[in-house]
Amino acid sequence: MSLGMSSSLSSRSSLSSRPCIRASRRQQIHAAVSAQASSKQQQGTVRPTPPVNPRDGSAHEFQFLVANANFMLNDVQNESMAEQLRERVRYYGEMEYAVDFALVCEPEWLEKNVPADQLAKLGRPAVALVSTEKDWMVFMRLRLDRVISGSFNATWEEATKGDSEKIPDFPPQKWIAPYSPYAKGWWEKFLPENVN
Amino acid sequence: MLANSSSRVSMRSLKAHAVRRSVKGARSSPRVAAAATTPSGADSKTGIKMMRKGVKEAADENILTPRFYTTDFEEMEELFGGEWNSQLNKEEMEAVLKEFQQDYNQRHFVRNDTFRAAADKIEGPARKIFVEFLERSCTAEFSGFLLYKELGRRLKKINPVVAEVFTLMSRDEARHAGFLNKALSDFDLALDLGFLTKNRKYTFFKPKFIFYATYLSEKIGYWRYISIYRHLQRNPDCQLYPMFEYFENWCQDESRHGDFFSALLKAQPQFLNTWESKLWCRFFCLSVYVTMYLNDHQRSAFYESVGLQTTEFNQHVIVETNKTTARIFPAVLDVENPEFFERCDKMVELNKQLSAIGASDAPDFVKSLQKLPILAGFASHLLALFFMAPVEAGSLDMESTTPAASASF
Repeated sequence: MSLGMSSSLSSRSSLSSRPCIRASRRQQIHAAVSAQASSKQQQGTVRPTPPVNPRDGSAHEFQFLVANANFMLNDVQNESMAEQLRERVRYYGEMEYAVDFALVCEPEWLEKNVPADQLAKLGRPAVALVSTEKDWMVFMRLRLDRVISGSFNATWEEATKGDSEKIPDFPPQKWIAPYSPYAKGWWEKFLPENVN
Repeated sequence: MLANSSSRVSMRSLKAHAVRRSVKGARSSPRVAAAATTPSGADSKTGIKMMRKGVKEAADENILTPRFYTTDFEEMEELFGGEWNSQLNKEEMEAVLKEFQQDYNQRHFVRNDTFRAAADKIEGPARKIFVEFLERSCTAEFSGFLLYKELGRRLKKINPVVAEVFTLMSRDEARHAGFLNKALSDFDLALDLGFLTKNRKYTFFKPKFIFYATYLSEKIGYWRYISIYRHLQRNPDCQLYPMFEYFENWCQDESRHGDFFSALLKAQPQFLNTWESKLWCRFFCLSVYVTMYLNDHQRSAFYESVGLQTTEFNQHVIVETNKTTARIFPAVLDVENPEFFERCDKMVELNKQLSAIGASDAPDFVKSLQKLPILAGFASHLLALFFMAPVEAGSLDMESTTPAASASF
């Protein structure tokens, strides 16, 4: 079934530098996999510094990612965002961090912080993910890709001010998956009024 | 499909250095009451071939078995030490590293008492296909571990940030492979991963190609695991074995690994914005999708045993993986064009004919002759799929791609 393309994938000239894992190296690999396979917790792992709790009444730098509500909340592709947010809330709970992100529908700061040319391309109602954790937001932008991103200084209250009532009642979509979609409202626990 | 003759060379050199080691789990798992083996070395319950007591013989390899990827590590060192390093988006790379350092799943892969009892209840033909599923999954995860671990080691001095990400990804893969191998022990079996390391054929990709392949493997892995998970969550009656309950958190690792490869590809625009890169992207999409489709259709019994319809499950996974991939690859396949799955289904039929010939008693030269028209059939379908009009795609960060020009949010 080879398309005859496979041979062109490897260059003959690189045969001399053919990778080869040395025996001693393999032993290390096995030591490593055995250690991990025995599911011992790695307590010594470097963990990033704890995030700052932005809900202290003072201004912080917030990052935002914004797109139309359908993309953010109702696209099959972004069901994985629901999983990520749940995972992060769980993780924050385990680490005893205060949750520093929320989903904001039609944020009040939108016009002020999104350039007009981009605003014109933004479907409404819009939903934004806001957080003070810059690295995580850079990662989320890498994942979501089709979003407008930016930052501003504000208090938690200002940054999360929006109108959750405007989240539309999404019409049923063409659904081919062997399971039903995430129930509407999965986002509710990430709305500003419900994030604790 | 992508196996090539040169991969044997690396295997020979690996064998030359071979040191036989067995996997700890296989020898000292407290639970293993190794299954009775027949004189021919086969497990009495399932007929599975045993390498030695309690250790399963690795399945025969063919073009559809999970691949062990390898690459030219020296060239990789040059790449990451030079041009690649300077072009990496540092902010993005450090964000990826931090995401991996969080280690969301550090406490996730802890087994409980229900595994063994559930495994004992899986009997008859289902037991054999379960074992096969576990073995293939374990092999796939383990191959990721080997590749990432080696890259992490080789790049440590040259590019510490990238190296650490690879090392943390190998951490994840080792956990997954270990968890799967523990699951095999519920079935009184284990894979000798040391033996596998030495004796498996490696598929060699030049560094510039390996990231297309690993990106797709990770993202399709995510969609497979999450689809099984969501299906079982909604149909708890089909939850035959508790391992599936771990899939939701588990597959987030796979998806994150894929994102790292997105970041790497973006640092090398020529991988994403030339006409050759578009052809390569289509080629890799096609090979990954078709391989899965044929593989899973050979194992319909497994998916049916957990209440999934193989075709529906596969088509969903391919459609969604393709959409995910469209966020980075400059071109993807038009899998929603009915012709795509029509041809895939025809290849499933051809594959059945091929298996039937393989299993027949005819002399080898007759078999070869019988296979010729079938192989020609495969070739014509694959070529037709490859040349179907693609879907223009790509990250919005790549300004030259079509989506960026017409972006709306």
